[in-house]
Amino acid sequence: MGAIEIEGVSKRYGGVRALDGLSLTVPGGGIYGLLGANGAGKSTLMRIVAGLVFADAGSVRLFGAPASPAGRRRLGALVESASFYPFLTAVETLLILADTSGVAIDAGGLLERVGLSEAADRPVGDFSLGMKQRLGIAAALIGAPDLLLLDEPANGLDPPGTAELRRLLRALAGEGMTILFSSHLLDEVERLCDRVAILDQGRLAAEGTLDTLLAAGERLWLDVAPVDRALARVGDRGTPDRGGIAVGVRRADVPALLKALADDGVAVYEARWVRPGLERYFGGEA
Amino acid sequence: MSLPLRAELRKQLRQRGSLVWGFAAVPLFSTFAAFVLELAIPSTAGVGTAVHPVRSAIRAVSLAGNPVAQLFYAVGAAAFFTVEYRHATWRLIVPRAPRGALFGAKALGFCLLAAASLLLLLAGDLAASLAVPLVRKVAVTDAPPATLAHLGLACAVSLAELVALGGTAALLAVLTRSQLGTLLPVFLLAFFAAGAEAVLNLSGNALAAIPLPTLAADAVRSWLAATPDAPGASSAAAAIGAAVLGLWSVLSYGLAAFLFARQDLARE
Repeated sequence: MGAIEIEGVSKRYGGVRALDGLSLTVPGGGIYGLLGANGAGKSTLMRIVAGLVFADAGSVRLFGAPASPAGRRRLGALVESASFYPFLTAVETLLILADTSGVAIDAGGLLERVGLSEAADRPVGDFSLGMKQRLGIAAALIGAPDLLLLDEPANGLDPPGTAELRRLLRALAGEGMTILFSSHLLDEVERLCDRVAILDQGRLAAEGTLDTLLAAGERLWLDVAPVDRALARVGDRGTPDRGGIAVGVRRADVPALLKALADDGVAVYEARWVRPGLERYFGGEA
Repeated sequence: MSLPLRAELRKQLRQRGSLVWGFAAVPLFSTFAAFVLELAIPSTAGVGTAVHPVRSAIRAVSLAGNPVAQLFYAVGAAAFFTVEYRHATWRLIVPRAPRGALFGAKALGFCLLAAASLLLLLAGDLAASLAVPLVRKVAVTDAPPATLAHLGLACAVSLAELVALGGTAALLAVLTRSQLGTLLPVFLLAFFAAGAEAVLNLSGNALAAIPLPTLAADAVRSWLAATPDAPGASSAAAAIGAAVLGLWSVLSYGLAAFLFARQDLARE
């Protein structure tokens, strides 16, 4: 049983198909990355899981039960940019949100956890974007949820704030919380997530552990001369790349490839494995 | 008090602008006017040798049906029901709370604020009535039991009228997600009703013929104010008026809750 089980979910906004029969299982525990270019369907998926938007088709289950308000009591969410009542202070905001969720909280403790203790009594309307994001994370932690949805949580954070967010998320995951983390920033996802789903135009483009996904695109880069003769030798498997060639080849076939190149009079000066990164799954737009 | 209801009231108490203009302005203006008219310029107020606090209070709570008062209440209702759309905060609340409970707390919160506003109206007018004998040589007349019952009914009618106004605002808030889109139609509806009452010279039973909350409330008030010398609406017309007020509220809140429960919050 996964923390989130998404089965055949579709959603249209007018003529735009945001999600197209998406199926995905987010396992319990750890940080799960949702990656995709803008418009890939990440936020729509987050909103459907959070109960803000209704799917046209398909189903969502949380911890094995159909997603319902009762099931979502184990969920905390920060969907898109954090928005608050500007006339409330940070403490008042958390207390009021706790009341609407029907739980009691230690507002000071939550603010301390996200580094906002000193701004506890300031109106949220005066907060910077980064402070609002932190407060959004504190709000998502109300009621100590088992599942945390964070949609682009690093938006507006400066580098120290982003590093602090990473530390916080790792600590929460270490406590057993499941975190679904969406971002269009490959670097953030690669640093944080154990598994990744990549969305492209509302569909699942790839899913798996980071190592698996990265290794799947691994190629052998060769510094060779002459390049055109080397390309003719490797055929469709090779492409020109940064002055040399990149070849899709299994590790076991490398000695034979190098020997064949040498037999053709191609000089090989350097050979190394390169991982192209996850952007290849969505056209390098992220 | 339920926690979601407490949250609604705490939120409203921190929105001082809409709290003052939407719910406190009518009682404050009414109290100010009562003091000025009854103390400073008694001749214009028609104050004679006696003050009748209960009759005065009935007049005061009936102010809730005045078109200008309705504008202020429409401001309060629009701000109250659209605050989550305006600040895009449904995304913080909806994931972990049933939408029905959230909407119920909002509706009940508005009813409590409307009741508090009427209580302020009542208290302010009573204070002015009791202050008059201290300043001027007039007597305070006793209120006969029937008049106290009338006061209770007048309060109930005014509350029902404000609850119906809130229902209209709630429905418009869900439909338009806009404060102005909520405020203007609510006010225009009250303005239209007042205009129809004046232009068509509606009174007595005729008030119950048009199913609008303001006219329905006036039909009940007309029945309440009836005397042998000045007959008002019949009890049947008053019953129709009360039914219109009740149905309007049930339908508007019910439809708003139904739509909100199915509303996509892709944007608030």
